[in-house]
Amino acid sequence: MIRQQTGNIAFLAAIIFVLTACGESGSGDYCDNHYEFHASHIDSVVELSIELSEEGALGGRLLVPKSALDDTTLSGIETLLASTEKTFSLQSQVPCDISVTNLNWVNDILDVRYAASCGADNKIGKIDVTLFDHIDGLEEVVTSVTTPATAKRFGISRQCDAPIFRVD
Amino acid sequence: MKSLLKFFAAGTDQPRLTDTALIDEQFRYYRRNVIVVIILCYGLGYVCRLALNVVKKPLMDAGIFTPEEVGLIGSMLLYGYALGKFSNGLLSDYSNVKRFFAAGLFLSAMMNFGMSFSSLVWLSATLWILNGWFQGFGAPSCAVALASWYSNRERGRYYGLWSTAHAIGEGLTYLGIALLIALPPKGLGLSWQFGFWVPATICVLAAVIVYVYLPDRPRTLGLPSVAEWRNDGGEKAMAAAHDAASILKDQLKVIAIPSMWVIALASSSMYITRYAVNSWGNVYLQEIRGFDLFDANFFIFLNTAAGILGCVAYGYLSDKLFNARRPPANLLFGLMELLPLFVIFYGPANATVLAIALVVYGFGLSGILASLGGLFALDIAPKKVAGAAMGFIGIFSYLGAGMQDYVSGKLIYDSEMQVVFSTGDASQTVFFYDYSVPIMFWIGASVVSMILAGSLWKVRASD
Repeated sequence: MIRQQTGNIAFLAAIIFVLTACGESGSGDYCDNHYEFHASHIDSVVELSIELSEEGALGGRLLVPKSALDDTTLSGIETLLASTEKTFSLQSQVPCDISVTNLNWVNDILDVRYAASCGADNKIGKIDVTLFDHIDGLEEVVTSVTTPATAKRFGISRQCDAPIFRVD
Repeated sequence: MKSLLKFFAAGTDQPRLTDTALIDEQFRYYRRNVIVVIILCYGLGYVCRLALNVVKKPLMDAGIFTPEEVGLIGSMLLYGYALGKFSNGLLSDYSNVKRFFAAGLFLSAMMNFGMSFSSLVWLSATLWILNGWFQGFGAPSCAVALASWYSNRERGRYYGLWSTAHAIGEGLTYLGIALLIALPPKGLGLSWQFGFWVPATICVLAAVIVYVYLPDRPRTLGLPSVAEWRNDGGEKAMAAAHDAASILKDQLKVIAIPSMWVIALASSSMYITRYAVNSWGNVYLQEIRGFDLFDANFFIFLNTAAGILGCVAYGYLSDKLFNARRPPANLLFGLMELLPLFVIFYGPANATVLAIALVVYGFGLSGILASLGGLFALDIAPKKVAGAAMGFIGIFSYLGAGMQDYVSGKLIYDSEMQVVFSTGDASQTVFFYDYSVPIMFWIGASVVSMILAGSLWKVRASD
């Protein structure tokens, strides 16, 4: 009886060991528990919001704080972001282009607005965001995407392998 | 092969014990074991059946499988289960159920274990169809154990008790697995693989419990039959009926009854909605309604928990209120199932309203399923081929459920939009889906089911 109980306890202990010992590791802490760190760097995080309507209109807004950029990048940032292909592009059934509708500094934050009219029946299959490829010092972009069906907010960090769904 | 068959074969009858007190003691001991083991282990076994439903969203988010692929894999389990319903029912009649049931649980655990390492669609689909078949070892084994250890007059009560096992298992899956993989603070934040490893461990444990504690038939232990022990003559009548050479002819009569086909199609349609909500409901609640993984699975748990009451209430109300006429009760429970669907999918974004809608939906669904999935068919079918009637309805139901999983996945996948962030050599992708077309499919299936069931308004039970 005692032997059987000892066996059961050992079995349970083994399960608990497996559950606790095999968790994610590596860059896990920063990425898995990002919400714990986010408040400390919130002033230097770039924000991107994209809104898609039923009618196929796209509205985008990019907020780039000065503190998110190094001096070299800062000097050319306006020219860079005025070119939409260096920000994001769309893959849709019928091609549709994005244009910059506004670009100005407000309290040390560069506010860039984008618009596109793709048409109601023109399915957008993919939005390619290429900010990280063109802005060297960029570490993190918090993104909000709203479609006619749903809305999601997530963070993309250069240090993580996957999107962060619990940003703050 | 011969030794494998011998291992699973029912034991041989042992010389009858003569000590009445010992027989009583043994019966009491084994009967307690049987009911506890079949409820506990059938419930635990469910965890290995439903694990994929909980980890669907993490699998899709990680880009391992598309919704269409996940749907295809999920449908395989239901096809395997439909096949298992037919084949394992036959096999279990000749088996030592403790070995048969334990093997099913163990093999199902291995399939879950394998799933945690697979990112190939064909491999996962193969593992999951086999899992469906192994999962099908459970119900017939439990039915045989119930028939062997409980007499006719008491079997209904114990069958009812055993029927709660699936709700226990579903609850354990939707809450337990969600707890493991949901992000902190609600969950432990473990990787999706734990959603298969832990169920596998649980099912291995359940297999051991079954193997150690579930007895073979009474006569293999030197006991009399339970009918003799309980002095319940029903078993002899049953045996006489089974001796008749006309069994096959009567079984074939089942498919010649037009109402049976209508019930089969109605049940199949209702299973589309049932499994759509169970398989995709938690994904929908996360994707579209923005709930986290734990809350979404908790909502689905609510509907399965309410189902326990729905089953019991349907039987009681249809017997007492409608004088054993199923169609009026079908209409009542059908409306209780259908109307909350509009609240769930088109209602306000309020957690309380959603929870109430899911409870009412689960209550209504279980009632209508109790009828279309069995009771109504049993009323109409010749009584001595009740098993064939149940099998006929069951196969249709699970084929509908399986087809649903793939079609839903395909429809969801067709709406996919990706937002891809290039981060140097790598990229990170977030997926967006639109569920409006699948929702129409799910609600439409319920409407079709209600219309089909309603067309049998004048059908009465055969004697």
